[in-house]
Amino acid sequence: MTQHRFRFFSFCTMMAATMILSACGPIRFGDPGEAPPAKEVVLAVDGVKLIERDLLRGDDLRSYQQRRYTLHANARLLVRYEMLMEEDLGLRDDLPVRLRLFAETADDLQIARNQMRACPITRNWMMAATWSAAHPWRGGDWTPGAEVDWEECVSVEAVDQPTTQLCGEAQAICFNVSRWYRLWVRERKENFGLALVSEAPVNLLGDASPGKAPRIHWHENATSMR
Amino acid sequence: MERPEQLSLQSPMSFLAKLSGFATATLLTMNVALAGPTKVGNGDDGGDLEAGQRITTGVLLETQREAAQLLRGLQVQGIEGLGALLPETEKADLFLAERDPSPQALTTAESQAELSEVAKAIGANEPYVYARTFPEPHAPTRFFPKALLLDRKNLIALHVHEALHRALPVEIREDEKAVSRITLAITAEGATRDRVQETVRKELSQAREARVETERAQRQAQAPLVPYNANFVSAPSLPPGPELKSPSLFGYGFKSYILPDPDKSLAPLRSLHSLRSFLYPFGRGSEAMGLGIELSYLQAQEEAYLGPIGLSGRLKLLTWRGFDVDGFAALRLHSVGSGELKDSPMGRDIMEVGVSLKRDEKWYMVENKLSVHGGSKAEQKIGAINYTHDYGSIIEAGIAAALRLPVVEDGGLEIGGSTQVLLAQNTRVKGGAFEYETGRMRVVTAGPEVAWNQGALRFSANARFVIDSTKGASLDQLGDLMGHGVGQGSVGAGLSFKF
Repeated sequence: MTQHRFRFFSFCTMMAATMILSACGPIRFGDPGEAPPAKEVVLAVDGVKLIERDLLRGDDLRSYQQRRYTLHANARLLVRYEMLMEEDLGLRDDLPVRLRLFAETADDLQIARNQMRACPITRNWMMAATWSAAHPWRGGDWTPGAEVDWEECVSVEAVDQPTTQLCGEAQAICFNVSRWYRLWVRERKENFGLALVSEAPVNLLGDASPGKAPRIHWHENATSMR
Repeated sequence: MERPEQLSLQSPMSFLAKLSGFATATLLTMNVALAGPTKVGNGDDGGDLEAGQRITTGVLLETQREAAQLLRGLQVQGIEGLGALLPETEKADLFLAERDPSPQALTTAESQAELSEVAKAIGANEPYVYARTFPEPHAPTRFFPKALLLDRKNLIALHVHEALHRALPVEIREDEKAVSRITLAITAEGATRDRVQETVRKELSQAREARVETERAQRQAQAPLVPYNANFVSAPSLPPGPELKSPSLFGYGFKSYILPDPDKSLAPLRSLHSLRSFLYPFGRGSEAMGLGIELSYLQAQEEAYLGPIGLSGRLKLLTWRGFDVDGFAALRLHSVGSGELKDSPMGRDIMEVGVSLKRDEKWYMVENKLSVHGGSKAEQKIGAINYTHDYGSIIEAGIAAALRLPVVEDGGLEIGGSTQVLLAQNTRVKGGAFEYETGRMRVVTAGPEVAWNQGALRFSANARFVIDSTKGASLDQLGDLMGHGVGQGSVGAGLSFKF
């Protein structure tokens, strides 16, 4: 009798434990080193600003919300996803963070692949920035052409690199900016964005181009809520 | 019945109460004894008003009716201060004294002067006491035998004169000179209602101003002597100076901004035109309170649009050691729409309150001004990012001074200048991932002003320059377009009309 009671008690305990664990989520019994499934997140970059030696005013309408930007030795494009710090991204460190743009033509794509670099900006700036000033307020002047960390610049991802479908589209240009994200955004809590630099003239599609505006791309756990 | 112990306790109090009652009664008795009849017309004790025979017929009664007829013709009933004159003239009981007043009544110089005034007013040749009345409604008129020697025209004027002593407002009815002048205005050849009305208005106005001045002097005499406040006088007793008599202003102003580098300016404006109307419809004299409206028109590098609208109020507070102290408040509202200046760091509403201390003399003018501009926010959208410019408050301390050269009778040249110290609290700019704080800023400006005054008109030319500031700061960063402008200062001109 006592033995029956013990078995019944053990059975009930196991059932209760199973129900509690089931309520917490799926139980994984696979390889503990295996990464959970990820989903891609792609968002339009909202801070896109052209600084050019000849554009003297920060509110010059030619310097933002354009269909096309031309970069050259005296013209650079500042890009930043403004809410990168504020949002609870659930961003996966083990997967790359990418910046994707589109070259206007095949020639531009070729030039971009050969010459264009994305460099971390080292000083905060606003959309009223110019070639010579990060902002129009007191103390806003900066090194002409923006203050950047030249040693941390990255080039366009090689075509043969394993990449996403996003970067496989025609004339797409992708930069792997994972290191920038880790060093600046995650560790220093500073989201100053990146400067796109090219000595040779190259045309990029701008933030007013439907579907081909600059975008930032990262991965999150498939279960993470957005 | 009261108990003995209660009586003993109450006795000292009861004695004091009785003593107080006795003193009050004594004082009242003395006052009543001193009051007596009010003297009108000469300097005696009024004893001659106590006797005489009632007049029921004769020239005095006939001229009474003629005087009433004259007043009806002039329609004096509708004139302020003369509403009771007609009934007081035609319904007054008339008495004839048995004899003329005693010669002692004519001894003092004051009495003689008053009699001369009356004689002149009624057209009599000889200064003499012809009639008397009490300066209160419905009192009778008592004539003296000498009056019977006057002709009918003089008697009509005499009826009017005596009736005026009863009918005019209290503050003026015992003033022999004022009553004589009004008598003359009514009885003169070719008298008109307008002329009578103007004379009464003027006499009443002078009497009221004199009364205010007397009350002020009395208050000053009674006020305790306190250092630094001895000359403090409240606004209602301020004697209205030239500025208070014509405080309203209508003017046009123009400013051309000095922008060494327009590309670095937060608002690259070339100039501002403003139309200002400042009216003092409220209060009276020294209690005047005004409201002003200022419209501005901005000329930018390539376009122009309506700028901020200013609403302001100004109140004369008091005079202090000869300085006029004004309180003022101003609200500058941005009227421009999105995409214009509203969509810039300058597009904010500003409230300013302050006090001005001014000494305005014939040869010079000095003014100190202290004010606070409240903080406020401006929204700006560049591309897809919205920025908020959260301005801190600004404290402004200013001095203005001018030397006046009255080279013409009603105006002249004015040469002066002004300086302002502006202390702006921290301004925070935030939008997207960008955040910036200016910290506290100092901007000091100074500049000359030359003006020509001609009567109510004033033409001025002025300039204002930033002479010192926190490194990198300019007027732009104060964000007050209408108040302080932009850039490193301005050159301007103005034309105004005071009324």
